[in-house]
Amino acid sequence: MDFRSTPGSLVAWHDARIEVGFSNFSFVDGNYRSHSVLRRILSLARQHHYTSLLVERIAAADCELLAEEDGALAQRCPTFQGSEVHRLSFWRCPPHQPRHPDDFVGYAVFKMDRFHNGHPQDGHVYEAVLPPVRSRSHNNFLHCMRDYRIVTSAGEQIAKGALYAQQNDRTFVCAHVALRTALACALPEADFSYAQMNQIAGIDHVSRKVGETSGGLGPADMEAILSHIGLHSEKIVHEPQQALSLPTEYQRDLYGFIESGDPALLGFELHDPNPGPRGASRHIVPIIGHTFNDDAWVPDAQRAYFGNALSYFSSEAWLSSYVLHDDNFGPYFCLPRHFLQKDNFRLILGIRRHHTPVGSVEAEAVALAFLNAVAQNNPRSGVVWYDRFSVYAQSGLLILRPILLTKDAYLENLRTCGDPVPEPEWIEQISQMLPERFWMIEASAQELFTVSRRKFGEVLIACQNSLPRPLNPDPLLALRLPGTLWHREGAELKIRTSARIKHVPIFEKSRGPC
Amino acid sequence: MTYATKQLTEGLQQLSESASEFQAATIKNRPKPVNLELSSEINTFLEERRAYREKSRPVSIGNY
Repeated sequence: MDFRSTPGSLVAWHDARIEVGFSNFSFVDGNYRSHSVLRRILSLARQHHYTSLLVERIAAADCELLAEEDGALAQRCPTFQGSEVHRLSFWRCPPHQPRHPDDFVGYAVFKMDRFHNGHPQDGHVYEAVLPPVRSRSHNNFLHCMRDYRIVTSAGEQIAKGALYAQQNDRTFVCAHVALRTALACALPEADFSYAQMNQIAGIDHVSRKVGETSGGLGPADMEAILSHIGLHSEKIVHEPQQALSLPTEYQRDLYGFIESGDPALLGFELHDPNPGPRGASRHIVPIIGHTFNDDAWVPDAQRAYFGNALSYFSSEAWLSSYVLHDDNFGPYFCLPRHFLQKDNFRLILGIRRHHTPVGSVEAEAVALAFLNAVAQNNPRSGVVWYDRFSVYAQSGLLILRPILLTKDAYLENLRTCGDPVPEPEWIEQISQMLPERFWMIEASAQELFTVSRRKFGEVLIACQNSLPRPLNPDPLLALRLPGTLWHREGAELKIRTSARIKHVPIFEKSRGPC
Repeated sequence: MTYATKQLTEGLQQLSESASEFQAATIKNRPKPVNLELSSEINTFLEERRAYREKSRPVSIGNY
């Protein structure tokens, strides 16, 4: 039994309104040793207009997961004495009076570990789920949220958000909690315990330990954990001291994961003036979404003033910040796109529910090659929006957006977004030939994409097999532009006209997971 | 104005001056079969990424 479903015993249900004198600061100072992450969580709850705070105690006798965690700590630290766990839940109603599902905001589980021999008590947020404060209407796009069922003494509730967790630096560290967040959104059951991770990585707390001065998980450990669960991962590394440099900016690879709805872990090296024999310390965080800035100056300026030689724009250029959880600071922080430079970047571990040997950056480049070939060979069709596409392509000013997509999601989008619906016989033809998954690279232009959130069309690229060397048209599955439709029939590419001659909305994330 | 923007502006203006095309409600020209001749740059780029991936695949450096 986990912390969400274990019955708790009531400690208190506080009236948390500011006007009655409740202070988040005083509450955390007085009860939780001024814990900074808990203060951040209460502050997020305040932004969600919470007015009462239910505190329940969870006992190890009732919660197998807690007993397991305490057992691991006892093995790791002979001075471990026991723990006290509180489940805090946040409500938009007076104490003891929940009436509506919307009264529930979210919850946090706080674990205080006690030790003998003068070791101080050590508390951490074992897990927390709250909704993000900002949403699509604020240009915030979080693709890794889900519903979590929680049973409190006030009944069953649903918390929606991306699960946050904090390391205890003894039996699990930053890589464990980053994996836990990522796995929570990738696995239907939402939970994968630290004990399970440690077992796969060979961490028994005796012959191999983590935390304090014993190190953490290496990339191979994390890959082994994901592989054991049946999830695929794609690794992007940048290790300049090992003569292994990523040839492109890491942000484009990172964006390729999260824009397709998959979480990714971002690892970096810390500033460390006195690195130990293992090198400078490192940290890893889960990336769960991004913000968007339709007025970004960087895409134009980067090309015009700073020598970016790309002959197109990646839609990633309008990304303003990555949204992440940092176990050191709390949930839902923004990492500005250009803050973490390549000098410090070391690792992306992108999680894929399904394997593809074709990455987003490669898919984007292949799509550009096809679109350019189409525009050069067929510069005008008399359909004004096709002709505009062609002018943008030949000027090197298309915007491309790669998304790994399922066939069902694509067909649903074709049928429901944009007017008119493409010819039904074409939809039937591509529904016969499309594989279950593929890359969809949307083609658009400035203002059309950034403000209207619309596109000229899209290219579908096969993702099941490696790209041919040299590249040939085989990976091209289908292509849709104003007034024209292409699809593959065996070795042939069939082309036909279409009554859909205008721009259509870009793909939105109401789709299911890829 | 950058070269690309100038090229874009001129291209869009040419389209605009061709008023009959703007009024087209249906397709005038059937799309013709396209020779998908791909640029050499794409292969250079893909080879560079491929070489990097092969080199990075077995690498496991650092503790997190």
